Amino acid sequence: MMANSIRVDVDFSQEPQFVFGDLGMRALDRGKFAAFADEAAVIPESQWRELADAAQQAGGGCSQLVTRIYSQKSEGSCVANACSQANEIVQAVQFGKDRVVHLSAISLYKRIGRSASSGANVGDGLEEMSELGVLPLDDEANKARFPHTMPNTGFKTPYPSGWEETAKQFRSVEWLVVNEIEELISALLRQWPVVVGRSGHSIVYADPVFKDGQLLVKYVNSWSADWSEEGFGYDSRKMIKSSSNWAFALRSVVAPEFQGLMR
Amino acid sequence: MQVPNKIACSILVALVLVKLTGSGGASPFAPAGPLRIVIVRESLDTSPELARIVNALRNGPAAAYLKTKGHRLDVLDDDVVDENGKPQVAPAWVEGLALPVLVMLDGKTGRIVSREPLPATADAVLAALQAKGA
Repeated sequence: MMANSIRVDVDFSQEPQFVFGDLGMRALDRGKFAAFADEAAVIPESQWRELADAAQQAGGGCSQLVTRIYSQKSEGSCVANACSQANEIVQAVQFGKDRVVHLSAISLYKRIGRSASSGANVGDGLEEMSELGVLPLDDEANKARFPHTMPNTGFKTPYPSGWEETAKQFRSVEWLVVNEIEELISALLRQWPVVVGRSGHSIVYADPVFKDGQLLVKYVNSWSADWSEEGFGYDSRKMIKSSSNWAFALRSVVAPEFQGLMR
Repeated sequence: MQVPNKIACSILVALVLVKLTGSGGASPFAPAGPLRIVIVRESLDTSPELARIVNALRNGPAAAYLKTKGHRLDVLDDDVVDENGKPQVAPAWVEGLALPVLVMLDGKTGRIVSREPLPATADAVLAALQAKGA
């Protein structure tokens, strides 16, 4: 489906980059996380267009806070990439785009996947992000700044000794489970990125937008910036509705000491 | 000047400063350099309007202004902690005010320069900074 030439409702399984990676949610995970329905209010659909348009006019939504497009390459680590991307977006909200620390998806995936191509369970990704966190990416700036870093890919890459001390600075601490499209859009309008799984792949929903009167959600993928529109795609209402069953909105991340907040 | 008079003058100056600062310990003097600006809110209560303010302050002309002035902006939950569980929002920043709150801190000392309810737009936030000479 095309809406004015943008790619909408991409069938991930037909894309050359596709590696099955999202194993969904286990039934036993469903009681572990706070539910949107219990914690937050749904924004009426009658307000969505006005609010979405206002957000775009003011500079955009979560998509404007993305500072890096992940690339999972040929590993089935989409869940880890999406969870890490969501953390970076909320870092941008809390500390600003120039203070975002880019993260290593493989430092999360190694704990939730059985092999490079096994894929992972979304609930496991959230638990690990909340309890132990994730390591910074091994770019030059991070290697100079942090004692423990890892690359974004490479399932066999060993953890550096003592890695937990660094990873705990990058924990995602407040999540809400989304079960309905109304909750999902309400989360996005509040600038809470939403990790969703569809068609065996995990992505991060970023902005609700209206194109030719139709609701779309702009999402950020983890197939590098060479994919689609600089790494972004769009889902239509039908796909959003399907994706909104057991999606996860991230509200807050740890404010680590190195951010210097309590000097 | 005799020593007792010096002491008396010091006490007088101190009393005047205490009177001027009032509650919250805000400094009466205009900031001399870049500020640490903190928006304290409860993320669960984030409205789309608040999200728009934050996004405008993170992107576009407002963000460029903050960067030009060297101001640092943090947007935090009132109960956010660091990796060791230590709170990162000082109670004095928000005491007596309903969230969300706009706090301006001296960039070097961390002393409170100003604190007030968060203005309704990003432009109003910048105006509040400029009113403080920032």
